Parts: sequence; C-alpha cells; structure tokens
Amino acid sequence: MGSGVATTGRSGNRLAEHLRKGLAGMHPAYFAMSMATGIVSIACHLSGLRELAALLFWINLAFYAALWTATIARAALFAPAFLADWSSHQRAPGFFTTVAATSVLGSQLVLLRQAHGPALALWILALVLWAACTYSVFVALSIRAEKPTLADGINGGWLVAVVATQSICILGCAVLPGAVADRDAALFFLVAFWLVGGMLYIWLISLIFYRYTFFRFAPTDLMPPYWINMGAVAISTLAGTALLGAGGDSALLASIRPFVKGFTLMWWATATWWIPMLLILGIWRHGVKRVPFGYEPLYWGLVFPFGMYAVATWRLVEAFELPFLAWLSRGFVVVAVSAWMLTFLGFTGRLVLTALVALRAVRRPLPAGAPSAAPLDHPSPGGSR
Amino acid sequence: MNVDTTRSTLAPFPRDPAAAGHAHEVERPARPSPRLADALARQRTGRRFIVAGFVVSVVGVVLYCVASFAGGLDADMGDLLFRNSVPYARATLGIIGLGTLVWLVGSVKYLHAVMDGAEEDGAQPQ
Repeated sequence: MGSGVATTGRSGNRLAEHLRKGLAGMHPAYFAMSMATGIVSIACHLSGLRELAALLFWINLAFYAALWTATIARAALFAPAFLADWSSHQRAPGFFTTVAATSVLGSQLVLLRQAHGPALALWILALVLWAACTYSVFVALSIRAEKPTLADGINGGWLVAVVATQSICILGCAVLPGAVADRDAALFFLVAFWLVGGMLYIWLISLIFYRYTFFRFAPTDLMPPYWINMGAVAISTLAGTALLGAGGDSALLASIRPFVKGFTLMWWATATWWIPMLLILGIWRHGVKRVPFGYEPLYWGLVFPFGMYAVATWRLVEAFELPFLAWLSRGFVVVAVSAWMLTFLGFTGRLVLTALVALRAVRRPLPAGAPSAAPLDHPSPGGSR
Repeated sequence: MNVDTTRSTLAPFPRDPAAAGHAHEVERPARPSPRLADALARQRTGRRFIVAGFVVSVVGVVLYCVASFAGGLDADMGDLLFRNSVPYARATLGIIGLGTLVWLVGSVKYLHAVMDGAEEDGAQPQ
C-alpha cells in the first residue's frame, strides 16, 4: 500500500511538474488571447451576430480572470523569470497586452452591456498599466547592459505598444467625455494618446521594415505577431473614428477634424496594404518553406488583427459614409471568427492534455521503478513562450 | 525522453515528425514493440480526426456567418436552434458542433497514443 501511495505521488508530481513548467514559461503576451476574443466579439456585435458576440463576451470574461490569476501566480511563484521578462527584448513588449486586453474588455462592456461604470474602472486600470508598462519596459530595455542585435531583438510583437496606446484612446472616447466636467480637456488628452500611438507606430515599423528588408529573414523569424504590423494601424484607424464620433461640437475636435480624418484614412490604407504582404509572407513561410503549424499562444496575436481590421473598417464605413466597404468588414468578420475557432481549438488541446495527464496520474500511477520525472515537455524553443 | 504532445494540436500536421518536435517518433527503436506500433497507429488516426475536425468546424463557422448575414441578423440562439428562424443556421451550428466533436475525439485519441508511446518508448532498451 505504501508503494501505491508512492507511485501515485510520483504521478501526481508529474502533473504538478507539467503545470509548474507551463506557469513558469508563460509568455507575457498571453493576454493576446483576451484581446483577440474581445475584438472578435465586438466585430460580431457590430455586424449583427449578437448571440455569438454575447458568447464570446462571457468566454473573454473567463479568459481575462484566468489570465490575471495565472500572471499573479507566476509573479509570486517564479519571480526571477517574471522579472527577467521585463528586460527581455523578445518578451517584454508582451506585457503591453495586459493594457490592450483591459481596454478591449472595457469596450465590450460598453457595447454589449452598456456598463459605463465598470468600463470606466477598466479604463483607469488600463491607463495605470499603460504607464507602468511604457515607463518600465522601455527604460529596462534602454539601460540593459547587453543588448541583442536588431535582427534578434525586434519583432512584430513590439507593436503591441501601439495597440495598447490606441486602446486607451478608444475606450476613453466611449467613457471619458461623459464622465468628466471638461469635455474638451478629455478629448485633448485622448487626441494626445492617438498621436502618441501614431508616433510609436512610425518609429517601430521603420525598424521592423528595416529588419525585413536588410537582414537575413528566416521563415521561422516570421512569427504570428508580425500580423500586428497590420493590427496596429487598424486600431489606429479605429481610434481615429472613435475621436471623430466622440468630438460632437467640441471646438478642439472641430479645428483638427480634417487632420484626424486624413490620418485615419491613411492608417486604414496602410493596414490594407499590409494584408497581401503578410499573406504572401505566410504562404512563403508555410507553403514554400514548409514551416509546420503548431499551437502557441502567439497565434492569438494573429487573430486580433483580423478582428480589429473588421471593426476598424466597419467604423470607417460609418464615419466616412462608405457603404461599398461594408462587405470587406463582413468578410473579415468571417475570417476572424474562423481564425479564433482554430486557435481556440489549439488552446483547448492544451487543456485536454492537462486533463489527460491528471487522469493518468489518478488512474495509472507509474510503476515503482519508473523514473518519476518522465517529462511531458511543452515545446519551448528559445523560451519564446 | 522529451515528448511533445501539444505541438500538433493545430492543423495541418507536419509530415516531418522531427520538425514538430516528436522526439519519440525519431528516437524509436528500429523494430518497435507491438504496443509501440499500436500507439503510433493510433497517433496517425487521431491526427486524421483532428485535421478533419478542424476543417469541418471552420466550414461550419463560415457557413454560419454567411447564413446569418444572408437573413436573420439579431436572431437569438433560441430562435436559431428551436424555431429555425434563420434558414440553414441550425444546420450550420450542427456542423460546428460535429466538427468540434470530431476534433475532441481525435485530440483525446492522439494525446493518449502519444503518452502511451512515450511510456512504452521509455520502457524499451535504447
């Protein structure tokens, strides 16, 4: 009997080891799962798929809570790994996904539940997270003694900083003007965020495009977050349309309205330009160079741009009265929901694996002589997740 | 013994097991035991189910969106499922459910087989 307890204990250890490794290596960009689910929900809501939007809202609520729980647990249990991520050129920009996920959930609350109070609370939380991420991540990366080369250090994931900044502007347009006495001051603040996001995009995309065209580019370098090249300009478009919508009779917005409209259209055109480029690069990566698909959390960074492009195009149609573009938005809703479904099934595969490991730990304990640390390794090349 | 049981849960699956990190498939002995051979066969079957489930689910999602766009936006799920208020929407939801079920069966089959293979592989003299 004692032996049975020991073997069950070893199997239990295997499950604990499995969970421990997953938590220790959790990518800071995992909040992209919540971002993607939220924006696909909003895209469905705007295009009339209300039931699907509501379902995704509840799923996102669960994701958001689970991700914060896991992040706090990781910070407490694996503090060195957590802190090391803050100064990692590869992983640190992933922390900005916490900001965007918070803002997207706030936007869902406004659109789907008309819950302006909780949305305002989330906007304040997002603002605090934005300030913390911006002035810790960029400072940590700047003062780091040893730095990677540009080719190794930069990737599309850096543009989540743009997404986070613009998401503050978008949710702010929905909740702030009605919540403060000085509407013009609120709009001035939000316009500043929109411009800062635009500035960051121009800086970062220049480096990314430089890295594309002047450095060796292996198929494995084209990670899913490169789709944020498009997603970051799509969200800038959405932020522009949100400002136009929130402006009302504001003197400030009236004076810069043509500028906002012009830049909004430019962001949308840039987002559209990226789509064929990224598709062709994707075909090169997977079709020509035969890089296999495999679930990894970074794939959520691919789903988000699809949903964001659908929403941004929808809002552009409304703001500029361009009904002939509505079909494009609906087409991207279908693409976004399909991509979400695929990635969600991949993620569920991870949960199924964990459930099976747990089941085996209970039903089929390891024999007494077997090594207790037979690992069920998650693929983690280069610690990238 | 490093076993990658998760890499292949997003279709399509690679032809080259080494590329997917299926170390046990690469490291298996030249003449696998019957149990290992059985595990490998179940892996292949599970993989086919997973790919089929993915394809059917995505086709279902596309058809659901198209059916909803074509007629009956804003219908609630009760109307769709029980009163078939939007033509074909109930059928497309059925397709999504079927695809997800096939995927789930395939995933469980595949992951069980990988774990069986890993344990069996570990028991074999290398």
